[in-house]
Parts: sequence; C-alpha cells; structure tokens
Amino acid sequence: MVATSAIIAQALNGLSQMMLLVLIASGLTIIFGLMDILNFAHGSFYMLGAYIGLSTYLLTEQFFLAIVVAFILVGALGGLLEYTTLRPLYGRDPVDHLLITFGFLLVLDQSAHFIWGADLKSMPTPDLLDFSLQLGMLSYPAYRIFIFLFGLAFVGGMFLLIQRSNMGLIIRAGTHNTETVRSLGINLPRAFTMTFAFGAGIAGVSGVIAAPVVGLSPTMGVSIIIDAFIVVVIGGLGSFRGSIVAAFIIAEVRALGALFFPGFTSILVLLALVVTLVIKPEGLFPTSITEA
Amino acid sequence: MNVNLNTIRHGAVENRWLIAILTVLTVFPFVAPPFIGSFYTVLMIEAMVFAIFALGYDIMMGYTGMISFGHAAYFGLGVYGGALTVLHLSEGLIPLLLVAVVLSAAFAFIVGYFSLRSTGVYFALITFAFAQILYEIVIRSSDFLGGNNGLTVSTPTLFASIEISEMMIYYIVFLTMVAVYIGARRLMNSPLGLIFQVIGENDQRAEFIGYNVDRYKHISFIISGMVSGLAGGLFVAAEGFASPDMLFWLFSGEIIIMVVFGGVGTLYGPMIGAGVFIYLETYLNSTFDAWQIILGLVFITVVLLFPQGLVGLLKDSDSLDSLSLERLRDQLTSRD
Repeated sequence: MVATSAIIAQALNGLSQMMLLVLIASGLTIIFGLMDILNFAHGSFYMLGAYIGLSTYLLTEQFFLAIVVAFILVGALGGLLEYTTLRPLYGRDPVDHLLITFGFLLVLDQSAHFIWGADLKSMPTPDLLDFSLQLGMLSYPAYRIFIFLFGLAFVGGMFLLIQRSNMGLIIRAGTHNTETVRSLGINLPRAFTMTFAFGAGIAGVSGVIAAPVVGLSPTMGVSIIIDAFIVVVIGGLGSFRGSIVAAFIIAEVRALGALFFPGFTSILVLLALVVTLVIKPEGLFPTSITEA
Repeated sequence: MNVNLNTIRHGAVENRWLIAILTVLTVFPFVAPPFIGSFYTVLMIEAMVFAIFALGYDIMMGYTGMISFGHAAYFGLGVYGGALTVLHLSEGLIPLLLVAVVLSAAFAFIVGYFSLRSTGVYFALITFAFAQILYEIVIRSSDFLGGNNGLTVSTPTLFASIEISEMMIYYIVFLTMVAVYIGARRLMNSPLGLIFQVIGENDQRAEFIGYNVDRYKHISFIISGMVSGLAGGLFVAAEGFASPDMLFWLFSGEIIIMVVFGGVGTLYGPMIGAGVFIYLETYLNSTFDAWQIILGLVFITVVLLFPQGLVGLLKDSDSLDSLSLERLRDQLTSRD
C-alpha cells in the first residue's frame, strides 16, 4: 500500500516536472509552429544551458545571473546555428532540417563531453531556496515550488508575448500561412532566426533550472528530448496550449507511475504517444497557437 | 527526400567501379591479413553488415520517400532474435537468420499498420516511439533479454554441424550483401519498385492514378524492415553479442547518417556510406576522443552542400535523369 503523503509528494514532484517540460517544449513548439522544424538538438541546448549555468554559478555564486547568462549564450548559439546552416535550406525538403539538427546534437553533446567531462556533476541548490516548506504533514523542498512558480510566470509571459507582441503576431500568422506573412513585407528570415534563438535560449534556461534537481551529464539532453517530443506531439505540434496540457499528463504519468508501476513509466509514456498519434495524429490541440 | 531514378541507369563507369569493388572484396580475406592483420577482416565484415542495413533503409527512404527515425528496432530485433535463437532454439545459422527476418518483418508490419496514416515528421516520430518501446523493454528486462548488459552468444553453425570460421562468415556476409543488392536492384526495376518511386516522387499523384499508396508504403516498409533484420541477424552471427544500444534512437540516427552520407536513393551509395562510416568511426575513435564532433560536422556539411552524398560527388553532373524519367512515364502510362 502506498502512503497518501507519498502520493501527494509525487503529484507535487509531477507539477514541477511538468513546468520543466513546459519550458523545454514551448521552445520546440514555437520553432515548429513558425518554421516547421522539429529540432532534435533541443535537448542539447537544454544540456548546454545546464553546464553554462553551472560554470557561471561556480564562478559568481549568482543563481539568477547563471539563468541570464545561459539564456544569452545558448540563445546566441542557436541563432548562429540557424543563420549558418538552417537558413540556406528553406525551401528544401523539411526532413533536411531534421537531419541538420541531428548533426547539431552529435556536435553539441560531444563538445560538452570534451569541455566538461563525462562524469556526473551536480549543481548546488541556490542558498536562497535551499530549505523545506511545511505543507500540512508533508515537508517539501522549496526549490521545487520555485520551479513551479517560475514555470507559471513563464507560461503567463509567453501568453502575453504570443498574444500582444509583434513577434507573437508574426509567429501566429506564420504558423497559419508563411507565404502571406512574407508577401506582407515581414522580414521572415530574421523572424526565423530570432525565434530559433529564443527557443534555444528558453531550453538553456530550463537546463539551469533543472540542474539542481536532475544532475548534469552530457547525455542529459538525449534523455529529456524524448519526453519533450512526446509532449509537443501529444499536445499538437505548434500548439502552446496543447503542450501545457500534454506536459501535465506526461509529468504526472511519470511521477505517479513511479509509485505504482516502477520501471515501466517510460513504456507508459511511449504508449500514450502511440495511442495519441494513432487516434488523433494531429495531437490534442491541432495548431491552435492562434487561440492560445 | 530527393528521389533519384538512377536504378534504371546503368552507366559503364559505374559498372567498372562495381566490378573493381567486388574484386577487391572477393580476394580481401586471402590477400590482406598477412599485411594488415585479421583485424581488418573483422572490420570489413562489420562494414558489410551495415552496408546491408543501409541498403534496407534506402529502399524505404530513397525510393518510397519515407523517413523512419526508429530503424534501430528492425536491426535490433534481428540481433536479439538471432541471439535468442542461438541460446534457446538452435545453434544453426539458417534458423538464426530466419527468426531475425521474420521477427523484424512482423514488427514492421505492426508499426507500419499504425504509422502509415501519418507522413513526414509524424511518421518519423511514431516509428521513433515504437523503437524506443522495444529499447525500454530490453533495458528493463533481466536474464532473458540481458538488460543493460546485453547478451553474449557463441558462433552459430552451418547445417547444424559445420563450425563457421571467420573466413566463412566473411564470405557468407559478402555473398548475402551481393545477393541483397542484386535483389534490391531488380526490385526497383520491377513494376512494384517503380510504384515505390512514383510514391516517393509524388504520393498524391500516385493516389490519383489509382494506386493504393498506403498499401505500397506498407510493403516498402516491411521489405526495408526485413533487410534491416537480416543485417541484424548477420551481425550477431559474426560478432556474437547483442547490446541494447542497437535499439536506441541514436543508432537510428546513425543509419540515416550512413545513408545520406553515401547518397540517398542510389542503393549502392548508402552501402559505400556505411563502409566509410565504419572505417571513420574505427579510425577516429582510436585517435581522437571526440570523434562524433567530426562526424556531426561532416554530416551537416553533406546535408547542406552535397545532398546527393558521396556518390553524387563522384558522378558526372550531366546525368540521364530526364531520360529515365521519360522511360518511367512511358512504363506507367502503358499500364492499366
């Protein structure tokens, strides 16, 4: 029999995990929504963010500075990669983009291996958040609550960005009809580079946020990307709202599944993906970023 | 993907190259070991096994225009099916290969059934998910599938009694490779193969002409899975081990690299690509820690600048593509 407090703790863990997935998946989602690119290297941006965050933190002891530095550096790298390798391929078969991003993955993961070594590293929880909260009879780490709140703030910010900003307008319009946006005189290549850089930057930020709870290794991107793919596909590729719902489902399946079916959560999650794709190939919310 | 129609073309230059390569491969294990050691014979066996795998992938990607991101599953099923056959059923090479092929064909049938309604990225992701399910099952298993440690098996026998030497497995793999290549070539020149290519070129048009596109895609997918499974079976027969890495999605990515690197849609291109890949991997792995950086950079460069791959570089640009397209059109319209 599983104790109730264990179930509650796992459900809460699921919520913070959900927010990490939302952060990572939202980058994938806006990139796919606007550019039709499924970015295999997205997990590698997350991994790089974690390492850059760790290095910054060890150097300065400033956690929030680490987040900002990871966002800027990983974002800049993403923009550079898009500009040099993806931009020349627009108009070619979209699968070529997928192949290129797979090439990024190989280069980035191995580079991290080269720079930071293969051994597992851990990031200390920032002092400010290193305590436990008493929730009824349950003692719960404050850092996980921070992840949840950070994610919530991020989701709010993204909604505003997509709904109110010019960039969001272009992303929404581009998701619907790239040709029309282009004919209206929007500098679409620049919007693409910005979007890719922004998506990569968010992935970098989520790497820093996740680092204190998951531990760092050069293959951490490879393990998270599967869940991120599953989230964006179940949610509907290109749908921000869908990816939030799907992130909730996947994170809770994993967290609660670990209590009831230990060892089989990955299979459950993959089955959820297969079932969704077979029944509703477009996902739960087919490209509804416009109504997000 | 770029679909080439050059199965129909039989350039004299290509034939000369083909004969040269075949001659080298035939005499290799006799001539080479005294000079460079039998290490290279083993490496050559591995290269040829992956050449068969790459060929199997190209049947689907290069001709029917489908990108699977889970082809490790079919190779891996061949490896594990073969290993389990030797451990529990029979020591013979032929039962091993039969189980490998039947298992991968069955799995391709199932995955194809569920995935073929989707195209493009969605198709790639469903095949990816199915392959990962197999991987998860294997790494969480205990004794029977060996879990993370994989399985080790002894060398199978031929006709239940004859011990297979390294030289013999070399020729078995070599002859299988040649046979599969000839078979694939004939397939692509047959009516069925031509339909594959029409679908790869434009599946909507194929649908309008009246072909059952999903059914032909399914057939192409199963054939591709079977050839991949055969390669997996040969791998375990030659190397004697099965590892869960062979089911992991990064391995599915590697086979795509081999195919794209060699030249999609040419049959022999991916085989050359596989050979070059295996040699580069072995060579760079021993000299340079981070060889995947080089691999990734080379791969990006190829996709970006040489989408026709290695064979596209070697071939004269003034090809007969238009001619073969016309022939294809004639053949299609003359049919009812």
